[in-house]
Parts: sequence; structure tokens; C-alpha cells
Amino acid sequence: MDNINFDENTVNKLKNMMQNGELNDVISKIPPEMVQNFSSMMNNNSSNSSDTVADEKVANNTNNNFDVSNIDINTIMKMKSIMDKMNSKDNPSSNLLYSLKPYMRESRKEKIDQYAQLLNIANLTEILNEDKNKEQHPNG
Amino acid sequence: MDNFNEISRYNPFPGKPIIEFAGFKLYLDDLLILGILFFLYKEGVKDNLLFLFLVFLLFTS
Repeated sequence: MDNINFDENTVNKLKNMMQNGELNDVISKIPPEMVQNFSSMMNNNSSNSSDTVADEKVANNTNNNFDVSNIDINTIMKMKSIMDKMNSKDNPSSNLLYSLKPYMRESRKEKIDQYAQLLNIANLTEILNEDKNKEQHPNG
Repeated sequence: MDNFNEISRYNPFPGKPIIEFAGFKLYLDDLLILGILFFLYKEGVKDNLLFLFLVFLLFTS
């Protein structure tokens, strides 16, 4: 696979799927073996002559404004896990805040929503730390 | 505070403080937050962010 850039129709389909939130569902259905194969294909492709790849990228960028050749599938998986974490309803701390909401005055109800979102976002630091540890210690 | 005067099925004393001392008026939701904070502390919960946000909530008028 010398050229891994997608045509315009595929790009538009991907855009629509991301806007409709369907991409999350599609990615979750991709089996891990396919992810590994795709990742190794992209790594092999990037190990080819860098000049020809750069020339192809310049040529493609002039034709298509959207170039997905630089996006690693692992990055997409990370983005998916981050999005899942942010929308997670399994956080006991935010669940506690939401359970208090009916008993609070109106001004506090708005704050509860904000604080619950912040608690979910704080979980992202766990993911980032895990990734950082994996990068520093790839052998475990 | 006007919104708090609305009759709520969760609050038997709408608009009225439950405890009043030294100029402090504690309403039902204040007592609820304080109770949750005390319970979490007694249970040994280590979630500092949760404690922080509950304290912020307590000081929100």
C-alpha cells in the first residue's frame, strides 16, 4: 500500500460519522487484530523512502485538504478511550453529586453539573499517566 | 434565595433555616452537604476533588 490517503467520498463519510457520533460505535467494533495489522502497515509505510512520502504528501495536500495519512490508529483508539471516559456514568463521585441534585437549591444545581463534568475530566489524567508510563517503560 | 422558597417535596421547611446560630443559617441542603462530608471523612474516602467540590458547593449561595 503505497498511498494510504483516502478519496474525497470516504473523507466526507468519515466527517459525517464523526459529527453524528457514529464513529465511536464503528471503532468499538474493530477487532484488536485488525488494529494491530493496520498499525503495522502504517509503520511499514512510514519506513519507506521519506522523500517520496514527503512528495506524495505535498501533492495530495494540494488536491485534498484533508490528509489522514499522519493519523495513527493508536491515536484514534486513545481518542476513543478519552471520549468514553469523559462521558462515563460509572464515576461514583459524579454519581454522588448528581444524586444530591434534587435536594439542592437552583444555584447549586447548576454548579453540580459543572463539578460532575470536572470530576469526569479529572479521570483523563489517569489515562494520560498510563500512556506516559507505557511510553517510558514499553517492556512493562 | 427566592427560588429556595418554592415548595419542594424534598424539603419540608422551604425557605426556612433548619439551624440558626451565631448569625449562621443552615438550610436543609447545607446540612445535607455537611452530613455527606462527615460521612465521607469517617469512611476514609481519599477523593480530594470530591471533598473540594462539596466544600465549594457548601459556600455557594
